[in-house]
Amino acid sequence: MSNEPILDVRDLAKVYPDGTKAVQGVTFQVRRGEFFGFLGPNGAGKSTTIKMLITLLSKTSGEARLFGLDSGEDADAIRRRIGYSAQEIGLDDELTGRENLLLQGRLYHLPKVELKQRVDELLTLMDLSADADRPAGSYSGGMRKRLDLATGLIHRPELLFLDEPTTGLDPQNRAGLWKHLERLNKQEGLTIFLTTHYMEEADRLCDRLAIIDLGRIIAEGSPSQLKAQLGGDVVALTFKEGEAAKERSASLLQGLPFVREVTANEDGVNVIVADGGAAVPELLRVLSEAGLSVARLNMTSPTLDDVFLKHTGHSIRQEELDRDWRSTRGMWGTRRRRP
Amino acid sequence: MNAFLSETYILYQRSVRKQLRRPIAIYFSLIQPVIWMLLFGQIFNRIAGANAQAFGNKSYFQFFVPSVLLQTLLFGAAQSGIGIINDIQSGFLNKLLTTPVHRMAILLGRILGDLTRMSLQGLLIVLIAWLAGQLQAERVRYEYGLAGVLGALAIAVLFGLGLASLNVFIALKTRNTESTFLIANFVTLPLLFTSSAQLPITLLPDWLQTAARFNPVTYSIDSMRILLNGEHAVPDVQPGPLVLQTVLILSALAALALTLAVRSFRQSLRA
Repeated sequence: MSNEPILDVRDLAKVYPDGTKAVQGVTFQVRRGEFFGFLGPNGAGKSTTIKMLITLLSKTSGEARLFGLDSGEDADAIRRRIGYSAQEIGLDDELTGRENLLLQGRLYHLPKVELKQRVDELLTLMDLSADADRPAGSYSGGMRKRLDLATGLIHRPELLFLDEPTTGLDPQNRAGLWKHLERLNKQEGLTIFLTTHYMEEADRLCDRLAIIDLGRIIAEGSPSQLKAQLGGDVVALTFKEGEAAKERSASLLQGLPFVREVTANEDGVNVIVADGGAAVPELLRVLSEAGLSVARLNMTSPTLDDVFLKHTGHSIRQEELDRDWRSTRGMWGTRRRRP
Repeated sequence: MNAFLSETYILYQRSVRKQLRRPIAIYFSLIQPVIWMLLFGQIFNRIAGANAQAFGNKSYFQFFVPSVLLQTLLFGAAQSGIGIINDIQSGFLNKLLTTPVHRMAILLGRILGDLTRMSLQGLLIVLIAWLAGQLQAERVRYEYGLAGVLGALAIAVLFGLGLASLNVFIALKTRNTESTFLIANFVTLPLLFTSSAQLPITLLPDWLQTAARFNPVTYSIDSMRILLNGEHAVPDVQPGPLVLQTVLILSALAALALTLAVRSFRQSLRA
């Protein structure tokens, strides 16, 4: 039972009435307890996909099953078990933080006493207890975000959907929210589906992610798997012994099990390994045992942007700049621009 | 059904709570009407004196109370639409839609909240008019007491139901607060000036009389006049049948507007 995916999506597609093919057939699974992400530039189809999964938007074709339930036919049963928090914060600014949580909880018909407890618990969890009785409109950006996240957790969902949760947050608040999300996933075992266009975010949070562009999944795997496709980390070494050491070190290192490839560079060698951080001490040990002393070591790791670049021929950062004018569409057709 | 009612009530409560949290909006919505009442009461009082029968033998001030009441509802009508646009733009509506809440509870809770606001505004105007009337040469007197006042308010609320629904419909079609506000105001003034709001219908030029006879505002105001100012408030009509006719016309219009609002709401959900 636990092996069955909590989210099973097959050939899901969305064509808007104006002919825009926002999502062109995506297939993926998410397992219970996983932190899964969609990484891609704005306009890639991330929001459209998430809106179909949370039953806010109808699909054009394909299938999406959550908890084994069909997203079209069993929408109400699904809604009871999912939580949602988006970049566009869904709070009522005129109600206090506590009232926002109570309102949301009452719509799930939570019993009064239990709801009251749950609200206090979430306010504490999100560090909002001191400001619980102020209007949400008076909150700072980070507080609003945390309150919005709390409203999505009020009914203890099994699967949480986050649509660009940290867009518009400053680095400090972003890091704070990441900690909250990690705790929810690791300690409480909450399954999380996240979309983002921040590579650092996907890299840090997601167990597994799909890279999406122009409505299609172009790569899928754990962040390290994806980066490993590029060949791995590059450790560049130069030696006190100079050019002479190049050949000796190359033949020495080539034999190590974790080394993928050794190539010569201008004044030393490039060693390509899967995990640079773990490889460096070992490389140094082997070299010093052989009597070679390293003069300089430089390590570069591929980023998810390099992965995106490899598959699409352009970088996400460049996409971001190029598509700045383009807006993504919600089900209500509200235009949303990147801040 | 039970869940539907309780969800409607939860969202109705939210709507009322928001409005009570901005009491200043309600106070301000009343300042203008009160100034009109006092000003128009002075300006036109001699006309009312010279045409006593057409004005139901009342002062212009008292004659004008139902008009002011309906005007206040008309000028505040855009609020119903703007509220729903704010919820769409803030993402609050999407948040609601991810819960298992009954979709129509969202619409109904909002419209019921608007009707509560309208009733409160109406009640305050009747009250203020009565108080202000005590200072005038001719005191304001509601012929049928509380029953008449409640009857007049019921007419106003029925009118308001159609109005709020129509504005929700406009808002869902335009998705834009400015347009909603513009359209609402564009409709408001012509409706008022082609009705019996300022003058009894018999004193209007012929062409305007014809227009006024097709205007639901005329029916509403005339019926409210009868319920507040007595059976002779509107000359040349049979009071009972007129009120009944008004209730039927307003109900039909409200049903039509509500259908439009529900349909456009459903359409947006099916995107």
